[in-house]
Amino acid sequence: MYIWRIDRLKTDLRSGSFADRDVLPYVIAWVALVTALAEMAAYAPYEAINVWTYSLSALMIGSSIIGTLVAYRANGRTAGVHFANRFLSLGFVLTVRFLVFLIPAMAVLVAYWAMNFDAEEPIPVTFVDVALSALLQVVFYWRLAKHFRDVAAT
Amino acid sequence: MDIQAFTSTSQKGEEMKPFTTIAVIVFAFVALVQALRLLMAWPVSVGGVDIPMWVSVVALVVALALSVMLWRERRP
Repeated sequence: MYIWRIDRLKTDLRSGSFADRDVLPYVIAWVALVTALAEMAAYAPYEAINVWTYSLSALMIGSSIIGTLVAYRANGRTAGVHFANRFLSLGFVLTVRFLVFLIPAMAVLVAYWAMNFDAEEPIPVTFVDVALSALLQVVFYWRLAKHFRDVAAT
Repeated sequence: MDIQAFTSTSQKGEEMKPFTTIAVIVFAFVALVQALRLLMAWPVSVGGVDIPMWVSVVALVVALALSVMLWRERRP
């Protein structure tokens, strides 16, 4: 299982040495991640609901679907093979790589919240949150499609 | 900063990018902060909700696992 070396993963995917059994750790990682996030959502701080809250939800759902379709297209559409294996493995490694950028960014955001909001008050979603999320989604799926194209090209 | 200190060369001649080392450090730092929170029992409250200690346990395990796995993968 690769968590960082995306070039090695792509080499395995291209050469066909990435077997169905190799995708199991990635499936487990995704399932654990999604389940943990769903469980943690129950304890998450409530947000002040406004138009940007709904916009953010629509953006995340819509961009995830569109991004997946873009990846499917980059894989060669109906002529492409092993889409699920590639999506799960490439997506996981890319997510870990994105985390390295997101963790310092979140630290800055939390510091900003601490300085500008009362800890007892709900934190409102703003246009900036929506814009930054959109940018992040675009960059993520752009990179994912690029890796898909690299693998599908051979 | 001496960037060469962060790089090494594998048996295949691949150069380890400093970004990989930075990633190990970032995840290790997150694990350290979570461990300190657990040891010192630091209270964390966001939006009026107290973040329970078990969240830090999960974060510690995940960050530590990623850091160790990344370190192992970093080697040739």
